[in-house]
Amino acid sequence: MHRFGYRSWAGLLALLCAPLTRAAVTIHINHGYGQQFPIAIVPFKGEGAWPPALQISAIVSRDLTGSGWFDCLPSKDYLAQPHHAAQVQFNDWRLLKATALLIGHIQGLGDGHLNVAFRLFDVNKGAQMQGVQYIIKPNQLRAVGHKIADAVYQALTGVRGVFDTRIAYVTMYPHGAPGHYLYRLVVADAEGHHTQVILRSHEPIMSPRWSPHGKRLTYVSFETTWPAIYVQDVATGQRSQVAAFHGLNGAPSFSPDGTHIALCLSKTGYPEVYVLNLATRHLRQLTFGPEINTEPSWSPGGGHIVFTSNRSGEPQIYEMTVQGTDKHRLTFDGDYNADASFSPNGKWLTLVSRREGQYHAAVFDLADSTLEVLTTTSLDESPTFAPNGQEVLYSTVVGGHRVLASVSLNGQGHRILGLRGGDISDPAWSPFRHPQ
Amino acid sequence: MKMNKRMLVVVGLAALAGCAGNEAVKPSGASATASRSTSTQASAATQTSASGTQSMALDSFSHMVHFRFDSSAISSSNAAIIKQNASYLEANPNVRVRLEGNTDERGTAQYNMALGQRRADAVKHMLEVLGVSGKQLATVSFGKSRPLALGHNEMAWAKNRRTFFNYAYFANK
Repeated sequence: MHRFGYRSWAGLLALLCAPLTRAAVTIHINHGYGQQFPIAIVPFKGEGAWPPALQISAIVSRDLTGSGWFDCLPSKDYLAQPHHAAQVQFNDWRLLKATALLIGHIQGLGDGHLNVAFRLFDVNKGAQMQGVQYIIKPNQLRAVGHKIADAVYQALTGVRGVFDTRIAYVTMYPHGAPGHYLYRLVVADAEGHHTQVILRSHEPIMSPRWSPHGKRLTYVSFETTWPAIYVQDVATGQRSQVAAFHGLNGAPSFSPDGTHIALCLSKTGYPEVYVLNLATRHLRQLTFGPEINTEPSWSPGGGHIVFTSNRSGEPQIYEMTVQGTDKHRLTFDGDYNADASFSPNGKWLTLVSRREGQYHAAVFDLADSTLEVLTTTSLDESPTFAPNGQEVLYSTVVGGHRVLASVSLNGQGHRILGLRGGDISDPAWSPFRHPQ
Repeated sequence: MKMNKRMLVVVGLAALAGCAGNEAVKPSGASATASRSTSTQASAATQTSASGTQSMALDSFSHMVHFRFDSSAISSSNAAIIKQNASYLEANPNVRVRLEGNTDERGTAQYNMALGQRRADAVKHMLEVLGVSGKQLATVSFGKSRPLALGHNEMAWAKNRRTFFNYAYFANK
């Protein structure tokens, strides 16, 4: 069943970029649920007054389809268009083989606010699963669409939806002489809409990472013409420079409690992993040696750090405690594994793995040490888990341009984000804003 | 700004020669290209270089060396370029240069930052071995973030794996 999803993705990519690897890659990631939920989403009453991009049923359909978990049934096949619970005839929907039905309406309240309400039904049981109404301003329509998609996603899969979370990424557009660009650090919602430019510079910007709850970003900027690491509050824009040592200042990554960052510095002459206390600015060196040690990433529990090292002669992923003890190699499959980060449940890593000269986003299972390639594209980088662990977002080249793409770990959902601004790289998916 | 324009000519030459050989730019390759160039400045400069290094002009030699994939090793053609730069720096002890290491786009951003730093450090090390004072030299890595060539193919990658001798950096400070 995964193969079907995989093939349709390959077909889409083939249209966009000609030379693709032919070798079939089987995705085994999922653990027993390849099925999709057939769902009927009736256009909400009153949504026709808004442009298509703001119509709730369209936003919900796009979110759910993109997740890979849902088969949104085409509305032309619906026998009825109910908007209220009393209008629902469950047999109509059983005939369509829908397992769930979403209906709702939008109503102007006269004071500039809107009332948006939805009901979600279990078609087989003939019972309502959920019903919520929101009082919002018109500029919150898209956000409410994502919230409804989250609610449907969670009600049917048992997993929290990520449609209301954010991504950070870097855009790069040629500007002036060759080798010169305009760089932007951008934050957008998980669909790539509602973009907010965090930083704009004619010097490189790299490797944004989120703090817990998505309040702050840490990133590398060359705006002084030398690399330095910054921490910036996303809402207020307030920021501070936290590392500007001689040599490399790179690969910052927040600790799960937000008080420290792990980073790579080369002030000793060699790239080494350090931990920086953001309050005291105390710096602790965790790796020692003349090889490359970089790309640290914290375990969700806070006790361990994984990093990339070429101490064996080629880049591989290692793990150590936050004290720098018990260093051991994790990856042995392939001659290039780098830039690992943990899944939110701490069971997997996503990383870049080279196979026959091609760079793929991959997932490493920490329990059984298996490495699974997720993509057929060849220039993948910066893979990052969705906060619910169901999807990996990464940067790759399609049709001659660097874009952001995501792959769902059940093998069914694949999408390319329609972002503008030039070549798009360095994606980082935010954690959930609020604990549940 | 004037300085930048002249630098650009050199950058362009180095990039063109780089695509032919995929390795470091040969001085002869650069002069062949320069004679086809419309820039009189570049042609004149090339003649100066042919006559020797007595009073070298800054634009009479290449400011760029290239590297093999995943390597910071100095090839023999790189060594020739580094020697010319060393002669210039020794003759002009007040001149400082920023050595800027770069990689191609393959692989991860921060691992490439480390690789770019190695490419800058390798050039700095050889300059010091040749007698240039470390005080004249600074290094920085841009990793994969500043490609000269935009393609996603071997020709572009060969041009982008480079260390650039940025003389304008300190001259403009």
